[in-house]
Amino acid sequence: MVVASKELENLFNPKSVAIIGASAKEDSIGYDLVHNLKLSNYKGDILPVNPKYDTILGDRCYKNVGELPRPPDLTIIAVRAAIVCEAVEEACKNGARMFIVISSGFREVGRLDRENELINILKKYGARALGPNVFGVYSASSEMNATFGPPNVRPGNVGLISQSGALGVALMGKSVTENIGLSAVISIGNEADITEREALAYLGNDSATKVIFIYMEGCKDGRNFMELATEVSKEKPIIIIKSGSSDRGALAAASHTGSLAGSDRVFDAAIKQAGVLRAVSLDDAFNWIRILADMPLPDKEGAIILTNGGGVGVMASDSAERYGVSLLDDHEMLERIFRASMPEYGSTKNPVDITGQGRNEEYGTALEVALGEKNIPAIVGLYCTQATMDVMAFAGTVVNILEKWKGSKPLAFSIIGGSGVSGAIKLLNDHSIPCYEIPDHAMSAMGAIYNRWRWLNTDIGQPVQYDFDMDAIHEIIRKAQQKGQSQLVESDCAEILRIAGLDFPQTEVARNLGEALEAAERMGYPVVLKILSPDIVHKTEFGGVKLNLEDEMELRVAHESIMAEARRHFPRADIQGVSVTEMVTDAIETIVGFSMDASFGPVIMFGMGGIYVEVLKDVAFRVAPITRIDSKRMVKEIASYPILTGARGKEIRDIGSIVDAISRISYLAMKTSDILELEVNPLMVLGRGKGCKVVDSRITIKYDTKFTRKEEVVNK
Amino acid sequence: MKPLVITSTRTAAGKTTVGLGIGLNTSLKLGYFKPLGDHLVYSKKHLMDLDTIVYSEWLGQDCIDEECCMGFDSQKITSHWIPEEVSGVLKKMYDQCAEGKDVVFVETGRNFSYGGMMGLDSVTMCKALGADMLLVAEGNVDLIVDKTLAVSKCLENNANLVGVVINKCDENERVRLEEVGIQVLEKANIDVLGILPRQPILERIDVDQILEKLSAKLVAGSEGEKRRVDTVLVGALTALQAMKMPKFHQKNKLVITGGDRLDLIFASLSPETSGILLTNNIVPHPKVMAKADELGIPILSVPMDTYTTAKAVHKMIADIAPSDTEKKELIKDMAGKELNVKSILEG
Repeated sequence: MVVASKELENLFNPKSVAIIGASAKEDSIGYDLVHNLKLSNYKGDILPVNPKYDTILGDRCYKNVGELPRPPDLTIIAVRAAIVCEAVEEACKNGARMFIVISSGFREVGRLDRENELINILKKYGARALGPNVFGVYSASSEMNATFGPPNVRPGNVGLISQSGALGVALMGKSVTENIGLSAVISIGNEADITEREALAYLGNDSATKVIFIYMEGCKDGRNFMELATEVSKEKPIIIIKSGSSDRGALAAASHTGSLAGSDRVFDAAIKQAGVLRAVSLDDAFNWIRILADMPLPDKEGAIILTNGGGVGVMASDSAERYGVSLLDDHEMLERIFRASMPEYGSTKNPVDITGQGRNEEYGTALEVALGEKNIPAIVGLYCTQATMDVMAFAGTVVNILEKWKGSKPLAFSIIGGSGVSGAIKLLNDHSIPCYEIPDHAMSAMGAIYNRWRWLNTDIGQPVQYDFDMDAIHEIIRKAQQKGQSQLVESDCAEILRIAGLDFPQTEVARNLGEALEAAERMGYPVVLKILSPDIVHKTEFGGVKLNLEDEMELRVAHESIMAEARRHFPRADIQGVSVTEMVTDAIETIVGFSMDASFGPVIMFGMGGIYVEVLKDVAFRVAPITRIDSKRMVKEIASYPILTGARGKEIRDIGSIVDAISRISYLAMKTSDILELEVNPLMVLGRGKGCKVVDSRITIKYDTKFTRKEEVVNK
Repeated sequence: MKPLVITSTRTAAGKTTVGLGIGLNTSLKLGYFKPLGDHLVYSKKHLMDLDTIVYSEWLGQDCIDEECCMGFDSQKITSHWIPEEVSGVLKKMYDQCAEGKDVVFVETGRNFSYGGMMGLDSVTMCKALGADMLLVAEGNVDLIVDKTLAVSKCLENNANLVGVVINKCDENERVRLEEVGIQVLEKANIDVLGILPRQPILERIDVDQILEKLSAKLVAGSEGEKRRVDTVLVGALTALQAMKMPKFHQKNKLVITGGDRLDLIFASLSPETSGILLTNNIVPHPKVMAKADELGIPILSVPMDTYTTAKAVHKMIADIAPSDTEKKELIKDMAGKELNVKSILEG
């Protein structure tokens, strides 16, 4: 379990709260803070501080912190930015050690100096602070609403962390209208001191919090966040909404891996690995919260849809496919258990349709049957209102039934129809039975709960530990760094990948045409000719690669072309000759590699090669290290996976060897920090049992400032 | 008639333009021979020189021989033949090319001195083939005169310089050239056999050439490959700021920007844009490509960074495409008016 800092206890459960900048003016933040604290029934001492007032909302107002009867457990700063540091230091001198700095006007407006001054004061006194630029903290356990958000927060079991102040306040408001209870709300702001990770760790430990909901705009330290989120996810679900895309740009993207990995997709892959559920809309997030907060997890795959309308049943079936909810298809069992409760024209197939003939009693009976059947792990109930049926009575029936079966299996309802529906939906939600206006939302929620169950119940194993000669790899890199290279020459790339256990077609280095002809004779035609130069990165684009040369004459022409083009485009490049390689035929191009993400560290990519990666971006990402099961999932995840499995009668490809290559590259990524980007493109995948071969690769290494870099010659 | 070696004071001075101009204005049966290729086209595992293809297309296939180029790369030539052999091979290839021709143009690579290492520089070729030399000069007046005098002094008795053709001459330079430059050259017994004015059409590049020269990938708007490019804009500003610049609204512009600059790419998708060149191998969203397809504006993608790409486009020299009839007519007309074809051919 995650170990959360005990220091934060005073942030959530203080026995006294001082508000520096408290105000008696109704339209001010200083007023709202005092007002919300009083309204939330906070049992501790409320200590307003402002020299202008004697009392605020009936409480004594202190002229300065020196007048306070004792050091407060929590001090809220709500004064203008220019005097925040002074106020914090004064409070520290009087014993305060935990702060919420509401005030804005710091790093977010370019005043890093002011924020650094604040940090230095906190360090000096060993104090902690949330903010600046936050809207405060709500804690259900201490009945404390120390925010300037909505006053009427409903206590519950959902913890909310928000990087956005305005949206955080709005989310608090929405939780009220959605009738979702909150255990805690933390506004993160500039994270000058207390970080999002600390907040997450706290909520991970907080017994009152059952679900954590995070609104995120950026992820500064992705890897640490991911590790913590993985630990917390084992205990309770985390739902994230993240807006914007990650801004890397620290690394020049010399390869596809780099440029593709720069997208939001890395974040998406990382949090999925951590078991975090990513919602794309607030609707999704609140829908998922409702089911995850109130329902148990299923114990196996195979949900049923129980409906009184065929159309909505079909719609929900489509949604099930979209959200990855597999539907139970044991029709014999369904016929056996449901037939008795079915009206004449009802269908016991899944969706189980009691039809419009079915009355509330029959729906109720079918529901009880489904609840009692151990082979049904989850239920999505759909109800279309009809003139002859009382929707409130239906809701009452469901509530009564579920009283008996509370906690037995996950359910999600959707009630569709005219007037009266909202009352019925509210009744179910008030009784912690997730109910939605649209069947798709119910199925989306069921999808979320299944995703969590799958993540918790799949043992992905441990990353394979290989026995690479890392000293030899580091030696190759060191020598290249000494030469001032940031891109390894092809022979060095190949050597590193060979050490890592990847397979290559037969290759020889030729310094001139004569040696190239001899090499081709030795290995047999057809061959591939490639320019060999540390200064030419994109060989193909500059005519530096000639494929499928079938005889001596073709090789001569190709060699001349390569040399002439290289000298024309790169007159100052160090051209070391060409490589002659056996031509790999009857193979499928894939791409595998890793790049160093500024936030998440090494990120592994796999995809189909050629147009699939460049235009369709059909690739999968994982944050390293990954296990063989992860690698296998990456391969299966891409849209063009069927091409590898022999679609349309083609030969099945050696998928095992791809998995092995990905796994080895992941291990390599974790074992050296000197490689910034590595890309094997293409990795040619042969038929089953025949392996896969590296045809071209590119490795970007860390530039070592100890060595003088020779002048950049590329493209001059 | 003696063969004529056409060489120049510097690379891309206009040897091919002048040669084609003469060829298009004579009824003599012309042959063309370019021993040292420098304008490589690799297609279907064969190498050709682009200038050779243009000659063949404009003056008839007969003017070139199948073997009209010894090679493109010095390493190939020096490893293929020992130095003593080169002159013989040159002569043999020339003889094949000259068969049945009234006159053969032998075009040198790059400039006057290029090819010396392989025994294929202009003076050595003149001596080997017993050819006259025609010099094409370009630049400002001082440069033209200095270099032409230098070439003349280098020749001594090794070759006969029939004269110099001055190419790409700007209007203001022409006055000084006629008043001062020509007099200096004539005093040195160098005939000025024509002054060809600068023709923006001949210096114009099109999207197709950028595609070929940068080995770019055409990711959208394939219908617009032939669009001409008159000006280049590097998209560094935000779309909002860029749109305030007059240059952004110029016709026939090429916009170079990163593939992730969606705002600028979208703003550039207008009829005034000839093409968009995206850098860093970042291909934009399919919606952008669909829009470009709809408007017929080509989007090209290259792996290089924006600075390198802009530099490469800046350095780009316009090709004469074999199919460019507009350039053909212009060269024919201009050469007919401005060149002393008779004197050039009669030496």
